[in-house]
Amino acid sequence: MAVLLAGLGVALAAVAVGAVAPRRQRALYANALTALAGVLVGTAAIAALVTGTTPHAHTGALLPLSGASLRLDALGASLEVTVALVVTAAALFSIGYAHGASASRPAVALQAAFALGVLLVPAAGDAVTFLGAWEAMAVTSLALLLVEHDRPAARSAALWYGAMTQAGAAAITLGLLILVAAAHTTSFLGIAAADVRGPAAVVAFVATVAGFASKAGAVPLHVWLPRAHPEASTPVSAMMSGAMTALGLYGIARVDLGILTAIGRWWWVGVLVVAAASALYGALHAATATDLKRLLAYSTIDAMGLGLIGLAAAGELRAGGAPQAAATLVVGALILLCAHGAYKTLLFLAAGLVERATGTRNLDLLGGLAGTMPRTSSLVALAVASAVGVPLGAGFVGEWLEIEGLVAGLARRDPGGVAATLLGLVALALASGLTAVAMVKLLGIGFLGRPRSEGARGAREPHGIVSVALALPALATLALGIVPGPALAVADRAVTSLGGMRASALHGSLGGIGVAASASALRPLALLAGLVAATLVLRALARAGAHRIRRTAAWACGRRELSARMQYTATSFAEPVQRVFADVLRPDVDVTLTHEDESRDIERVLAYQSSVADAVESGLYRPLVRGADALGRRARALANGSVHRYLAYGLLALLAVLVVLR
Amino acid sequence: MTGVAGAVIDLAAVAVLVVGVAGLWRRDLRALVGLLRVQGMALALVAAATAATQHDVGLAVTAVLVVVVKAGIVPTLLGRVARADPGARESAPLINVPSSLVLAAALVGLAVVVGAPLHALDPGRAAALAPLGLATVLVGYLLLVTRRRALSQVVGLLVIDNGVALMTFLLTAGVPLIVELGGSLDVLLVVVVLRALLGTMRARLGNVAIDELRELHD
Repeated sequence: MAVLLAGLGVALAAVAVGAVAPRRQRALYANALTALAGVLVGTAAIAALVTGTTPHAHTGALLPLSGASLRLDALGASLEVTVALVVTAAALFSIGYAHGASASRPAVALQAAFALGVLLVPAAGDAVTFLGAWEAMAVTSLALLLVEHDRPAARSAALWYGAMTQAGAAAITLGLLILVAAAHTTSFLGIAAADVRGPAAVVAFVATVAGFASKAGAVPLHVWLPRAHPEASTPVSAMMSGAMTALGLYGIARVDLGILTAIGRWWWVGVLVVAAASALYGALHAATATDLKRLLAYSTIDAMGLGLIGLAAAGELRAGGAPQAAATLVVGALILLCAHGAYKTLLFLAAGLVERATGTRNLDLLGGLAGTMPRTSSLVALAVASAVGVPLGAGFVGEWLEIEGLVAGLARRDPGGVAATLLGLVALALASGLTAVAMVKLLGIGFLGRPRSEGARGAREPHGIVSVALALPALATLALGIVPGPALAVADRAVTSLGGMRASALHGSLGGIGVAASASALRPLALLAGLVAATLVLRALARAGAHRIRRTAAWACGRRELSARMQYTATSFAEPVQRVFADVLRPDVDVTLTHEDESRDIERVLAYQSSVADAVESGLYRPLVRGADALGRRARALANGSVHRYLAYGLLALLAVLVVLR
Repeated sequence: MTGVAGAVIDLAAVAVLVVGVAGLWRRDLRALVGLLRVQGMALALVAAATAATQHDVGLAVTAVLVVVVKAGIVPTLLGRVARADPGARESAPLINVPSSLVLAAALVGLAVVVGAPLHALDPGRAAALAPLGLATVLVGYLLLVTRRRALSQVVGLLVIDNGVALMTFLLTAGVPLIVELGGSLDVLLVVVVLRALLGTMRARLGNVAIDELRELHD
């Protein structure tokens, strides 16, 4: 407990230092303290997981009526490790990266406060502390979007994010208050023990799932995410994507899966449909996006959708009488969150470096960075491997576990349940494929090939602490991908801390993961050894057989006359996907032909423009916003500026209250 | 509660309300300020009689305070404003006088109906009068809503305050001295500020009719 409290105290000190320190030292001291806080909190969480203890503390002084209480059980601690990793990496990165508006006093202090908020959420032990930490996280991240408020895009993103996050927080507050009122206690343990049932449980379930899912970017509540992530400064978007969205799923695991155990299975099937839609929608948009950060934002929606598929299917399977498969799914979702936190942080931070080095985030203008920024490129390749879900990547472990759980869930004599499980499985498979397209595009178009612009050609590898910050999540990705056994054991303990959950049938060791009563097993260490051996053999064979090595331009098929403009671009790479899914994506394609004057058959200029707007935003939210705007304009007649009218409203309200309360 | 003191409380409490209703009837601003002074005195009488029955020194001091502030300083300050504009009348209230008197009667009825449970708080004789305080508040609010002149609106605000004070005297047999002191100081501050504001408004705009100030929205 002492280490956890020390960590949170240091995070608080970082906020103070960010607010008062002089300009030159501000970013260094505040971010160093935040990184230290991340290390301390992460250490406390790992210690709690290793020793199997549950540190907890309560004080009546901080919050009125209920007091503040911290409780780091296995579920909270396993999320806290991810969050601490993301916070530490982002803070170290900021030390070398912050300049201009993102090094201003409010920006540095708010970033430290945001880190404190995300560190606090998984450690909250009661509903009031949780809501306080949640709101701190939401408000500081909203304010951080406005750091560069002179850009209209940032203001618009902040507006969308503010509306969505506050509506989500209101829904979560409503749901938790219903639970608190029904259980007569604010502590999560007490609420879980009260076993709330009936309509109150259903309302609380719907409200909290909606609130948490909006934070995790579930369709159709995702519209803020592709705007906010690209507009925030790089370390902030890394924290938003790696830590904050994961906390949305943490909330669903904590409250809906862990407390509302009596909820009917069809509610979970509904969540599963939303999750499947999010994963597919996010993956599709990621595959067609050309802005680096926008691609990463949509891939966050995709990854959170995959995690939510695990949690929702787990809820359905638990209610449907397959608790072991449910446990496997939750373990998979937790590991997926951890993997996503690591690789997405790395990708966002690398995207920030690329943007600073080349001056653009447009993939169509990048390329060839593997030559100019070799270290960053190899780390990005590592993260991409993890995101795509190839073996030895961290993402693979989580996806494999989810598929194991879903497949186990198919062995039931219940057509409805099997259909729901099948839906999850199909969505998982399709989304994984589309994710691969998006990630291959990111790495191939952005980093391989030849530079497509002057900026990309002149890019230089950054040195110093930013590289350390990138290496940290890379190491975590490698560790999780190659030695997943310990993480699996820890996640299994987290699952049993949820109400109504049994331990999964998985057993993890240093060598790999095995599934009891089934032949399937994951042995990454053996795979790694085989891979290294095969690589060495191939290399030796290549050396032996090579006569003369001719070097030529990349991606030119060995020819010299192909220019850099003849390469695949991000747009052309995604064009087949965009064409197949045109009904969902509704791309706006514009081809302009200009003919020579003499002949209609000779084309002079051919311009191709293609942009994919968010169909949910234009189809659902735009009419909603227009309607609210019209209502607001009409409501203006109520307030015509007459003092007497305002006073009369007051009198009428007073009379109404008197009559109603009589 | 002794007979005489009880009768005094009854009479004075009713006087507070009646004076408030009379405020709806009179249009002359100077007469309005005079009514306010009378209301303050009646309020002080309630406090003093309650103090006498309960032998409460703090309440007696409160009564003195009420006389000084609500029957003394505040009406005097407002009187100066009214005198600066001799013959000023509430030109045309938003609701004419007979209608507003009918409305006032309805409000008093509502206050009696709604305030009936207040008696259950303290089954003494004084608490039975508490709806009078509520009625005074509502009448004051009506004054605030229907009058165009800024000064009449200030008077309406003070009538509301007097109604609240009446209710507290009747229900709790006097509030702690320190609370009443704070309340009185607040009222005094408000009146001083409003008086300064009224002076400025008259200097800038001449005739002060709130209705003409329409630039508050957006």
